[in-house]
Amino acid sequence: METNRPDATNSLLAELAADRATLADRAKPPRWLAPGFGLIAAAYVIGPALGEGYRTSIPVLAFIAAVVLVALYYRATGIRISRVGAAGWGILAGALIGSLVLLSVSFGLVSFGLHWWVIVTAVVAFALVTWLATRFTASAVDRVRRDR
Amino acid sequence: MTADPSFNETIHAPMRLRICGMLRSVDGLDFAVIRDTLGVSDAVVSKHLKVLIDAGFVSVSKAASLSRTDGRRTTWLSLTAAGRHAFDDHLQALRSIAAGFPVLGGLG
Repeated sequence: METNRPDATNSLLAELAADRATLADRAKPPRWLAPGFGLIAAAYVIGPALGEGYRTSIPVLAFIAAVVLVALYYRATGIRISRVGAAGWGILAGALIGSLVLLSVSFGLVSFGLHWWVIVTAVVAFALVTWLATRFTASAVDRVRRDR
Repeated sequence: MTADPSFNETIHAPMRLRICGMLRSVDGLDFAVIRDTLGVSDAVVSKHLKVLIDAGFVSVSKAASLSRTDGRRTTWLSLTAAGRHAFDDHLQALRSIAAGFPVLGGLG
């Protein structure tokens, strides 16, 4: 095969780009993934209203649930992605900070006896983290598609 | 890290180039994903993977799979550090050729 010619080489590079595009399409997350992370965040934020026993166990359970979700995503797609770039890390930091702020609000509400209002912070956490998880996975998939 | 354009004959075979290209953009791929993307048989993929594994460019790991009914495990493949380096250099060489610059050691 004549490979030192620009046209032949361009065809090889085009094939590599097409493969990346195929992988990126396949790496698109299932519909349940982002709401799954949203539910984990909601459960984390609602913890203060559930009593002392739940407060300590919920963060551990939330972490385990997040690991299980990522493993299920890998199994569903057959693709492992962990390099997410600066944008991905920024989104992840936003989700963590947002959840911690909402957790603090939940603690504040419980300290004032407003237990039922914690549902509001949980709903906000669900919406925020679902949105950020969608952005996060889109950013990761975009990195697969993009030329290096 | 800046890649130096240099041809790698092990990687340059079209199937192996495509396998490395796919593995370079992710952390790991299921064997079946590579096979389906290339549109070839298990045997063809295995033959090329063996060359890449023997060259130290690809690593393989097995994981239990609940989705399989035949008791076999899922095979995950990744590029090694040496594989990433060799692929980046090779890709740089291909880009140089595509831009009209000759590459020392190029095939042809």
